[in-house]
Amino acid sequence: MQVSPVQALRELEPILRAIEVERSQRVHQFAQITLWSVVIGGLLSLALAMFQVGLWSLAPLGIALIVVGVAYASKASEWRNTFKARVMTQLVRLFHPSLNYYPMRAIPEAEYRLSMLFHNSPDPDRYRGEDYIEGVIDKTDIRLSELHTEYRQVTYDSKGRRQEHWVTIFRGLFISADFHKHFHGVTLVLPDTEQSWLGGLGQWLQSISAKLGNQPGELVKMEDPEFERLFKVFSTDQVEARYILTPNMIRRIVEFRNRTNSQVRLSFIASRVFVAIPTYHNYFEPPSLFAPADKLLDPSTLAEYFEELKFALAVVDELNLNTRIWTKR
Amino acid sequence: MELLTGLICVGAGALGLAILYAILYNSLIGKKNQVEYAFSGIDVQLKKRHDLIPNLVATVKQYMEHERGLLERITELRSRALSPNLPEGERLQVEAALSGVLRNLMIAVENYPQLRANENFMHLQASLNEIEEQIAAARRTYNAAVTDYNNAIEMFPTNLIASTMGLKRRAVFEAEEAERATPSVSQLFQQ
Repeated sequence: MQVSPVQALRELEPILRAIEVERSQRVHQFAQITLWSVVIGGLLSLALAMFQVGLWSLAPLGIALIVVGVAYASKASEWRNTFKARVMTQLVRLFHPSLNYYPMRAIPEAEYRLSMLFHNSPDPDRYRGEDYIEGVIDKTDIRLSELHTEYRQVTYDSKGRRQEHWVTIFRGLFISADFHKHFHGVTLVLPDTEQSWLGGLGQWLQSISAKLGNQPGELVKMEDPEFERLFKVFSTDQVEARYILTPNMIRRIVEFRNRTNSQVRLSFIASRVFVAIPTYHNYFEPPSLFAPADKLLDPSTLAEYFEELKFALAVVDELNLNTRIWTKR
Repeated sequence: MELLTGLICVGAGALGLAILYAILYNSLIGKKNQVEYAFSGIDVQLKKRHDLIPNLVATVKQYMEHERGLLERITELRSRALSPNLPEGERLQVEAALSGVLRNLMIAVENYPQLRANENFMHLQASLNEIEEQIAAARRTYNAAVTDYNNAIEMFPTNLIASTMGLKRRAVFEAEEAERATPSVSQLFQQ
């Protein structure tokens, strides 16, 4: 917002050059490890082959390949950590001076629970996240991170053997931001799965589901047909839900959903808005360890990170969170 | 024996119909009360606005010498809305007129930079925005309740019971002509 990618490149050039040197060193180290493992493994295999031990003669070569794999994983993760710690932290600050970036942190689990966005899914048994960004954009404080929550599902097959699966609850970007109005209740805006193919019957089922206590409060019907087709709204307070979801806000949410082109969900709790954007895209990742040397110094690479940041932080503008003409300042 | 089975069948059928009738009847009553409840929600917000107006007028008066007429009109409309023997329909018209002049006032304020910088006024303006937003939300809630109610009394099978209960269609709130039109400033000063 403040700095263009080209300017950012100029600012970051010394760092980028420094880590580019480290990157080529890592590639070099990796190449050496690979060379030696393959040569030693290959020679041992050849030697064993002379003793007629059959397939066992390939074992040293197999071990050598495992060594190469481990070496690659460790070099790639070192490179990734260096890049995030040294480049991304600076890049995020250049994007907006008030923002801070923590590569290993995530949105706290307490906040995930508070949001109630996945309150109908089981509690997560595995809660992981990275790329945490926090800061204040104009008047709105915002926190976000990548998040992957899963629960453990245990099944037994026909022979009674226990099998464990990890089932994903949510994977994508999770955003928590200050809302520009005060409110006390709970309002959920969830993707509509029933009404889209069951029509009025689906809506009836949703209101029954709310009455049975599966959702907080009751079903709130909005006037906008496009919004109603995409979302279902539950709230503990009918009037408050409409105070939050003004016709203007409804249009903004529809546009936000169409832009992200995913099953976004929003909740409005304790004067904050929580947004979950499901996506399999891994944000803020460095170029590959083996990318050509000039890839890092290419303005289009930085421009891509700027695009990702813009995508994640656009919520503030799109939901108009900086407009404060109400009693909340 | 056959007679007994027949009687049981008829009895069960009658009981089923009675239960169905009760469920539909109650759902209609529920919807009718929902409409009234939603209407009282609007009333609460309108009252809040009445409470705010004297303060607003007092603050604005010091700065807006030229807008005397506008301020007097606001005060007058407020006291008319508060008079106890005003019929419901007329009261809503007065409230709508009040919304209109308040909006005009907020536009006129643009010409008084000193007033706009006044801390007290800024607070009142934010409160008024808040209340107007709440009124809009309450009206939309009312409209949703009325639509639900109107659907019920016109759709089968509830329409059969609704006609015996003497339930009538209710009208939804529509944006007033004056609210839709963008007020012109020159017109404002003639008031």
